[in-house]
Amino acid sequence: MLTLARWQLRQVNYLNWVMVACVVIWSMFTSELISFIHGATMASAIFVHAALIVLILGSSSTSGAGFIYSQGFSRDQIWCSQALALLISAAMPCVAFLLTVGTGLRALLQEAMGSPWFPLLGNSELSELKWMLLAYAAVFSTFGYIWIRARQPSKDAAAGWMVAVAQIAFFIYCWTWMRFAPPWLCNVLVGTALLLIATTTLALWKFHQNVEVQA
Amino acid sequence: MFILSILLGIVAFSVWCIPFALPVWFFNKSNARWVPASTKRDPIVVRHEVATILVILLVWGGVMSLSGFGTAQFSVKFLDDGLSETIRSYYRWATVVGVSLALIGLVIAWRYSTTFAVAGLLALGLGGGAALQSLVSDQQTWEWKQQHSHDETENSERRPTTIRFQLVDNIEGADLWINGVHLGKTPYETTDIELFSKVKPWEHDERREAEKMGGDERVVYHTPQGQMLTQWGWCPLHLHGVQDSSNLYYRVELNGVSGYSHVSSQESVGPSNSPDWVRLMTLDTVFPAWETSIEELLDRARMNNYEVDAEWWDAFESYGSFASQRLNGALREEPQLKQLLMRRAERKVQLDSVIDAASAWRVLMEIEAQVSQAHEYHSESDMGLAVDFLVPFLDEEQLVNYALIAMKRWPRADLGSTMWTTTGFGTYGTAGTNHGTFGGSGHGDEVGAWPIAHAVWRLDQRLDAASRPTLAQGDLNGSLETWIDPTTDNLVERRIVPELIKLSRENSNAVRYAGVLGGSAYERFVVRHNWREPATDPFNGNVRIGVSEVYMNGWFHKLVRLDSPLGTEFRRQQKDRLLDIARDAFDENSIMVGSIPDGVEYLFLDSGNAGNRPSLAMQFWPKFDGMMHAVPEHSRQEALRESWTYLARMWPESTEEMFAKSFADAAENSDYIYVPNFPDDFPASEQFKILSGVIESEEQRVSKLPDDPEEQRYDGPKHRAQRGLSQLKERLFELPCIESAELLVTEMTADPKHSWRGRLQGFLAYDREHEDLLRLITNTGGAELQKQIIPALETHPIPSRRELLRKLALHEELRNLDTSLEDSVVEEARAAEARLKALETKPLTEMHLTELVAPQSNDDQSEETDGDAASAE
Amino acid sequence: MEPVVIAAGLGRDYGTQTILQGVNLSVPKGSVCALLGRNGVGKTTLLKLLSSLIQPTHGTCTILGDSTWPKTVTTLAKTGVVIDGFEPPLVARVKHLLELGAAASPSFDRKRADELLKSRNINPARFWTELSKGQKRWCLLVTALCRKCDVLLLDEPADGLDPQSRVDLYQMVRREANETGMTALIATHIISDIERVADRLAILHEKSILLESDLDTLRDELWVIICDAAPAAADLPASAEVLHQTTGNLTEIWIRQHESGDVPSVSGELERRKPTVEELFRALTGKPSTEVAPDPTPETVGS
Repeated sequence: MLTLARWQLRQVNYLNWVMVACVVIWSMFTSELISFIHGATMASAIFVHAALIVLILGSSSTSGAGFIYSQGFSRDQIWCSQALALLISAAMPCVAFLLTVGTGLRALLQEAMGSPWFPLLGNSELSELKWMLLAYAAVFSTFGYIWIRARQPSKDAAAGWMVAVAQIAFFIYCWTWMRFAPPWLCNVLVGTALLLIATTTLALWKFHQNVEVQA
Repeated sequence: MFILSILLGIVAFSVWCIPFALPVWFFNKSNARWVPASTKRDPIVVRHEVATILVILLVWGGVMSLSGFGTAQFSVKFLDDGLSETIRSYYRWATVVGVSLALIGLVIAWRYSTTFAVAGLLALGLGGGAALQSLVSDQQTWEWKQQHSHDETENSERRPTTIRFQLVDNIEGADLWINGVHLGKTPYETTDIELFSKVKPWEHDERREAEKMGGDERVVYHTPQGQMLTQWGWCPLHLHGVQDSSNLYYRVELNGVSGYSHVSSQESVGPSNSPDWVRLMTLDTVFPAWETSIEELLDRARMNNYEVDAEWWDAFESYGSFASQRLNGALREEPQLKQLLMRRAERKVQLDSVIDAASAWRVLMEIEAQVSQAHEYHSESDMGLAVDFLVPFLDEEQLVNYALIAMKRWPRADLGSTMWTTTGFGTYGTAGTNHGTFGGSGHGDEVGAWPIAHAVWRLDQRLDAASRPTLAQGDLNGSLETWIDPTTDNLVERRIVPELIKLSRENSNAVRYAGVLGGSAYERFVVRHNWREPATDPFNGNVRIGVSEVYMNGWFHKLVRLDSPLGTEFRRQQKDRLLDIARDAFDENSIMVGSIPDGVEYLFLDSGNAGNRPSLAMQFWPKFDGMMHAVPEHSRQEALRESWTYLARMWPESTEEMFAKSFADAAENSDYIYVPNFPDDFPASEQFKILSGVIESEEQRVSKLPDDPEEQRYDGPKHRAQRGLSQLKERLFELPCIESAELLVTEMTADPKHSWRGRLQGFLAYDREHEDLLRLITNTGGAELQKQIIPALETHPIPSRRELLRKLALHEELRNLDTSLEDSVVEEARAAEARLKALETKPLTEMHLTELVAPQSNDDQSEETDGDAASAE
Repeated sequence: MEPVVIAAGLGRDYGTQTILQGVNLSVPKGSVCALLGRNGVGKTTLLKLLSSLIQPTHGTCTILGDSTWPKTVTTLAKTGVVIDGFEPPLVARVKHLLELGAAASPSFDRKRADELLKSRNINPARFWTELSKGQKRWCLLVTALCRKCDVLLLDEPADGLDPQSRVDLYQMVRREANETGMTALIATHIISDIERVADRLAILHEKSILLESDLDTLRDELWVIICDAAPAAADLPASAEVLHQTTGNLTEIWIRQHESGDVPSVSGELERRKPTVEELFRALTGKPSTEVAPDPTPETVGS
């Protein structure tokens, strides 16, 4: 399983390291407050990174996918390895963020640069980690569904795209509301988003068992 | 236009369809390459996708419904109340169509294709939304045009406009007359067409004749609190937007008692351009009998040194919102009435049970709960006063810890509207004199955060007062941050302010509140922002200075307002820039406003604490004086007022000579000059000092002026100067301070024909702050003056005045000592005292207004009765 | 021998187009079966179906007794697959393939794999992109072979290989089949190579298996008779099956004699000979089979 996960991870590692570098540079040098809800920078970067990873790992129409599916692994083994690779890919920038913000490096540098928010904020921006992970989960599940659904041996292949469009629109809607909605509504929206992520991920796993490899 | 908007909607719909149709086409085409034509969709796939769409539709639709049609407390409301019936019908149909389409979409997703269902829903939703907005916008434009062309339209072409007349507090059953025609009882509803069929507009003479019939006693009414309603017996009715509405006059009677009306206020309720659209005319009418009863109750409180019991409150609150309004209005002039609010607070939250930190905390929690429920809080209200009372008892750590929890609980709480002043923090809660009402949308139980914020602010003030830090000495040539001294931070500044600044990421109000609390964290936060960039527009947090188009960088603005060593140093370093801003801020427009623009309050911050350096205000004074000197003659009066306000703010750094010179300059260059008022909070004794100096200077100036030639006997320079001098002396006598009282009594005693002998009674009747004058006259004033003060002693029977009244009435010793105390004075005083005694012993149960007529706007005290009778006696 | 690769009525549609229909195939254990067919006839699709990459539209395929779709992990682990066009991603190194093979199959012979790679001067540390086409193909085949699978499905395995490598490859396959009982199904165009190693032959044509047979038997039973004129049907022996017939100056009749013994002479017969497999393939797939093709039902086509 680990070998398989490493195989999957190898395909996206260069992207992950680019993302890690971006996160480190950005989190160290941006004088703006790091806020997932109030700023689009982090959300956009995560969106691009996660979407590219899913594009590479999730598609079952590539030569590479055909190869791995023909190497004697079960669908579940492959899915688990992909999930592990996605998890690690999401964890890498998060860990980078954790190291720069959590250890106080950002605070030190920003204070030296005369930022008004430091040392006041300390490492309180670490709370953004939960939004980062949520965003990765949202993009992974939503975009992953596009590929899986498109390779189901059934009609209506564009449904994956459509569900993704609907989900992304909904996530953006939630994201917009989070800025000024009362806490209870935020909880409802986050809860619904988590529910959608969970059900979509479950569906991903279920549907992946029947995925066809058309390279 | 209607057709065009439909076409636009269709075009928008089509355009929106393209991005959704393309992927559908592309994917289905590519899919067809390999998916067998006979293959059905997996039922699990269908269930998952339909469930996903359903969840999204439910949550999205739920939030939209709550914000649009429900009472959820969101700051954004989808439908506002002012929409017309037509537009509302559009939205209703859109909702019906939207729900239907969603259902159809779900069926399509279930039975046929998720792709087409979602693509269809998105395309129809977005395209239909665009079409709907286009339609609504078009309709709104049409309605606006219709509304504004209303006056020009012929009667026959107009749709009747419904007008509803109601009394203040929505009192029912009052008879309404308009232009001598009895229309019916309030609330009275009619249409403009029906109204003008019954009522003919009056010419001016007709109204005057009608007033004569009504009798003079209706024309002028002196309210117990000293206001004189100089309205007409027939009060003008302003029906804006209704044709022929000029020359309409109204009168109201309730149970045969004529009401005394102020101006009417008008508002529109309901959707415009629809049968439900109503012009609501609220007739602001006073019924003297009720007012008298309320005032008697207040007098009972005054006689008892503002100590009242539950029985008193029961009686007082039986008058509903009339009583509340009276109390709130009186608070401005009679701060002692706050004690009544304290008693009311005791009734609400058992304030009298507070003996230690634990009990105080319990009461604070009770206040928070009540405030959250009522959605209403103001620092000047009973609850606000209760918080003020509680703060010294509270455990500081407990309050701070709870405040931190509250910040997490209500991270986006408005934290109240705050009014900043140079001397601190004016009031907390809503700006304005009324108790803030926040029952509308957007606040919810977050109002519960306000009493906590108020308590924290008070705690901060207490802690600051307890250990006022010495002035920090920073590096004159180094960074501004060296002037920040964290060691002087108190508990609030140390623990709350940093958290508030963190919170400001999602709540901009938090920074403002942090600024009120101050401390090193706030100062460092502000000084590190980009305050150097000049501001040219009202965006990016810039602050507008005064009424001119002058803006200040928001962070710069925060820094110049700091009342701390850093602030002082900042103002010193930025002196040139600040003086330039001040120069731009003061212009003719700002003079007309009559107060120092908020943005340049910094000029006065360092008066008296800038060491040997003159304050910015003093440095700017020559420039300011020159600017005031250069104003056109017609603005000279306003310039003098502005100059005196400026000098008063600068006091005691300013001098009497500066006031005098300013006055003389204005007087020399203007035909007529009134002596300006000092700011309300300027101490009377200081005013006396200044006015005395100005009078002395003016006397010298007048003495040097040559006599006016005969033809300028009444408007020559000397005459004008003497007139000004006379005014100055009048103003001097009006001051509520011992110096003024002594001077006035001395002069009146010495001069039997002194002008004040004739106006003393009227002056004292409405001015409540002349205890010294009353005392001096009681003791040494002589019978003529003593008689004049008796009404003032009776109408405002606080214990000290009552003591004086008793002295005049009962004290034989005084009479023996003071032979001037005549029998007539004693008699009048005894009569007054007897009336007060009668009032004092009158059972409170008899002072209830048990037949208050449906004060519907006040829930807690209203007592629905049969609705006709209203009596105070 | 019991069959380990069985296709029964197997079919697959792509959209409205039918690629395979009613495919019946049975490959006994330990045999090497050559799957022949013209370009685009569906050989790769058949291998994808057998290796669970795509789902059958009709029928079933059974590998090692497992007829589920997709196959169980046990079956997949015992099945080595090399499909033409399926390659590792660019970032992979050769050693990663070997690691993957080892992860997929516990019996993976890493030592042998290293030796085989070394024999072609392939450094395991090299990136995939650095290899030639033949080297890439060799790596894929080595990975599949060294897994010690029970079933080996190869799609155009010799494509890009040099002649020596082709010989070595087929020798290895033959040896595995002989020694371990491995069953191989090899789709290819290069008949001369496969003829040397395969013991069974299946010809895929017009969406289904046209001919499937043990190769030795086929060689025995197959005759080409050249006549000066087309014989009447009654002239042909009852046990003979006419597979193909050409017309012209001389008539060629391809006969498969199901019963033992020689085919009796036919009137007008000028010559008779044993055809090669390639000749048979070309004869059977060179023209539209509707002219003389046998009924593609199992009773007719099956061995």
